[in-house]
Amino acid sequence: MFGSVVSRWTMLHFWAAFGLFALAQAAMALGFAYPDVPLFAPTTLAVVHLLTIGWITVLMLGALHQFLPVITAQRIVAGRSALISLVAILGGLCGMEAGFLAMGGVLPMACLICLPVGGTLVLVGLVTASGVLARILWRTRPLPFSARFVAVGLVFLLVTAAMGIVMGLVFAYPDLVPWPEALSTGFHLHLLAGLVGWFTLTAIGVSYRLLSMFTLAPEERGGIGTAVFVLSAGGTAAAWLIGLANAAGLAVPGETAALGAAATGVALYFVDMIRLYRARRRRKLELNTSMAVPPLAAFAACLVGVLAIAAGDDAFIGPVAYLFIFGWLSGLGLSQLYKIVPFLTWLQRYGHLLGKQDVPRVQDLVDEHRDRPWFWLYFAAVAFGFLAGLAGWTLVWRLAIATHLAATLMIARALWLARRPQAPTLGRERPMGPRHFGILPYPHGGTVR
Amino acid sequence: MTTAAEVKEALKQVIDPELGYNIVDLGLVYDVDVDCDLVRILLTTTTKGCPATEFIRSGVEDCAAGVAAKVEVTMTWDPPWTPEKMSDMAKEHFGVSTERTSAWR
Repeated sequence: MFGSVVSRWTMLHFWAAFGLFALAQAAMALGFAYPDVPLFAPTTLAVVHLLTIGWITVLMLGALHQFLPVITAQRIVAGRSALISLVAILGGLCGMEAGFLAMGGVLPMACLICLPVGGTLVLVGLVTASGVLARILWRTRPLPFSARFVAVGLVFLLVTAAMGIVMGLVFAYPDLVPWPEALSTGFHLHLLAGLVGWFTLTAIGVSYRLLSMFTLAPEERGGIGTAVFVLSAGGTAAAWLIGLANAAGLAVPGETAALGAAATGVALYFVDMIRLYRARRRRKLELNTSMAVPPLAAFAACLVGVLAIAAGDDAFIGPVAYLFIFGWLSGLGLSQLYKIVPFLTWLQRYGHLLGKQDVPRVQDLVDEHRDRPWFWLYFAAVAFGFLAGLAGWTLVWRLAIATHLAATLMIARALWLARRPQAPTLGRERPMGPRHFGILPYPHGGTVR
Repeated sequence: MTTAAEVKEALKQVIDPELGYNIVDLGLVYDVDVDCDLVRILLTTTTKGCPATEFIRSGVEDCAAGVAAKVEVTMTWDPPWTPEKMSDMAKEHFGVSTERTSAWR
């Protein structure tokens, strides 16, 4: 049983995701992509997919391989298939990047074929990962509250990838695709499925479980939680299906109403998160739970921004997309990694020593005092970048991106150190006699209690 | 013969790794029953599906084996653990109270 408490390849997912996150931020800061070039330029699309596939999707899949079994109280089943999935996704992403660079004239046009081929390989990887996760969900029926969001999110993940392949084919072989309008009509459905259906619904579900667990808040969300799920998941699914029907020329009404329902569900999620934090029993928040608040605020600001875009102000699209990816999704990911990585480390290195000798606490593997400023720097830089984007100050925006790249690297360093604790107490025999908690020296400023 | 109090004192060497506090004061040890040289321990975790469950169970077995000849550990999640089961000392440590707390502290 001990061998199954940690998903073997989750940390590899995290390190790969971190590397691609840093690469994407560097490309933006150096001016290779938006905001220095147009939002829909090929190099921007290359960076966007580095962020959405390479960073957020890989991060979320790695986390789900570990935490979906926690959410559902099932055994971990992600073995070699998790590695195969990761290799396929990363390999496919490389192909997609080559395709986008060919579109932009950086690589020969012959490389354009890499776009749909790479996308197909990514889809193979996503199907493999989703299959593993779907097995866990299937064994858990009826699904617990937070797992329902994940289930819907996984469906949207595959839908997003499949649509992406069609769009890649249109780019590469426009004459072969019988629906030349697929690119324009499919684009917003691709965005809806990916940004809302996959990322947001999954993040909502996981955040419900993790934040209630780490703050000692009630997991039962009652009627408002049900409303969040029905409206956000149902509204998104309805809007996507109606949009698809309209793209096929069926003229089905109700897309705006469905999107409104989804937005209402998201707004209720904010209300429920405030309830969750207010009802928490762990009064003093740890860094991962206190730093989950800025992403929630960023997400709320995005919702307001989307309403402004819906009202016809296209100038908001770039800054709101930036805030959504860096403030909401990346911010939530970074903050929760600050708990997940030390927890995994503890399970792998100290779990089997519990009760046999002194072991550190999970929080002893990090130094919140040392790392707190980097989180604040990250979120301050994202806020500043968002405001610079609204004002149209491109150079300032790039400086803000460079700043949150530096903060990202420092947070990655903190997690790297958490993976390599040098415990002076390790190897000690079991302490004689009972104790509540003796204070022992421990690296990174912590103590063993 | 070992008493239940001695067993519980021994189990205070086992911590919940995430909360960082011993499992006895957290209220994770639901029952300790001493029957001659056999000690039966009824144990839970803060949440069902906790990945540290088997480590905590094994740690409890090891610690109890230091004060008893035979140990039998049973896991249960019925009733589910709540922060109210903590000792007063643990509640004070975590600031657990029945009052609502600030949302953004």
